[in-house]
Amino acid sequence: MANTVIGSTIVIDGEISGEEDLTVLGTVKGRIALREHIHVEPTGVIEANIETATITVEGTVTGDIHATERAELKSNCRVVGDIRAPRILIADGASFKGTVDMEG
Amino acid sequence: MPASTTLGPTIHVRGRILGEEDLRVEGRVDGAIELSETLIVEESGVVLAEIQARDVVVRGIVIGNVTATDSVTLDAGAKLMGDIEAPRVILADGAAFKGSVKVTGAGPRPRARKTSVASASPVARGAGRTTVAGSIPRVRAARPDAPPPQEDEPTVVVRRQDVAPAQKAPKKAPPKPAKAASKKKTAKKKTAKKRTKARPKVPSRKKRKVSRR
Repeated sequence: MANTVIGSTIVIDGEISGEEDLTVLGTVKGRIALREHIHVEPTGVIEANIETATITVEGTVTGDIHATERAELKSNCRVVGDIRAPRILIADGASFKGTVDMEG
Repeated sequence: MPASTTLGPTIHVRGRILGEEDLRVEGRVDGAIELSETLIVEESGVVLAEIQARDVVVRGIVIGNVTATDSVTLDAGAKLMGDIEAPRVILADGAAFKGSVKVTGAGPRPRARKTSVASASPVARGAGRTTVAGSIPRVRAARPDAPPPQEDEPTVVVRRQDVAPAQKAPKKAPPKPAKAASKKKTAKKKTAKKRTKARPKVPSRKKRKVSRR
C-alpha cells in the first residue's frame, strides 16, 4: 500500500496536502490538509493546523485540528490547540489544552 | 516502523524537507530538500526543488539544481532540468537531462560521464537503425569499402559470378552477371530485384572490387 510515512529524522517546514493516509514520526511545521487518516506516532511532532478526515495522536500536536469524522487523542499525547470534529476521543493520560467543538 | 520516509503518490508538499534518512518521493514536492542520506524520486514523483543529499536517484521528474555528496543517478525515464553537482554522475539510457554537470572531486568510482544531453531512448535508437538499413544501397554504391556486415555476403556472391564470366568474355560482362546473380540469389529475391534496378552502378562497383583484389 502506498502509505506515506514521514520518518523520525525528517523535518518538513511547509504545507502537506494529499489524499492518502499519513503517518508522522518526525516533525511537520506549517499546514496539513488530507482527506484520509493521520497518525501521529509517539515520536511525531506537529506544529501545524490540521485538516483531515480522521486523526490519531500519540505524539505532540501544537495547532488546531479539524477532523471531518473523528479525532482520537491517545494516552501520553500532548495536544495544544482547538479540536473540531463530530467524534472526539480523549484517552486517560492524554494531555490536552484547548477547546473542543463537536458540532462539525 | 521503517526508518525510511515515503511521500505517497497523492501527497503534495510545499516547503522545506530536512532529514537524516532515506526519502522516497512518489508524489510532489515544491521547495527544497536537504538530506544526509538517499533521495529517491520514483516514476510518479515530481520534485520542483533545490536538492541536497548524499545520493540522489531520479526515476521521475526533477526540476531544480541537484547537489550530491556522493552520486546522482538518472535512471531510464528520468527527466531532470537543472544543474548537477556531484563526485559521481550516472546517466542511464533513456534519461532526459537539460543542464550542466559539475563533477566535484574524485569519487570512489571515477566513472562519471560528462554528458550535457542524454535523451537517447530505445525508440530513437531503433529509428536510427532503420534509416541506416534504408540507406545501405546508396552507401554501398558510393563506398564499396565499408559495407555493413549484414550485406557483405551478397556482395561476395556477386564478385564470384562477376569474376567467372569476365574471364571468358570480357566487356560483355554487364548483362550476363546480372542474370546469374538473379538465379543464384533466389533466397534473397527482394534484394536481387532492387539490385537489378540499380544496374548501371553495379559493374563499376564490381570492377573496383576486382581491382582491389
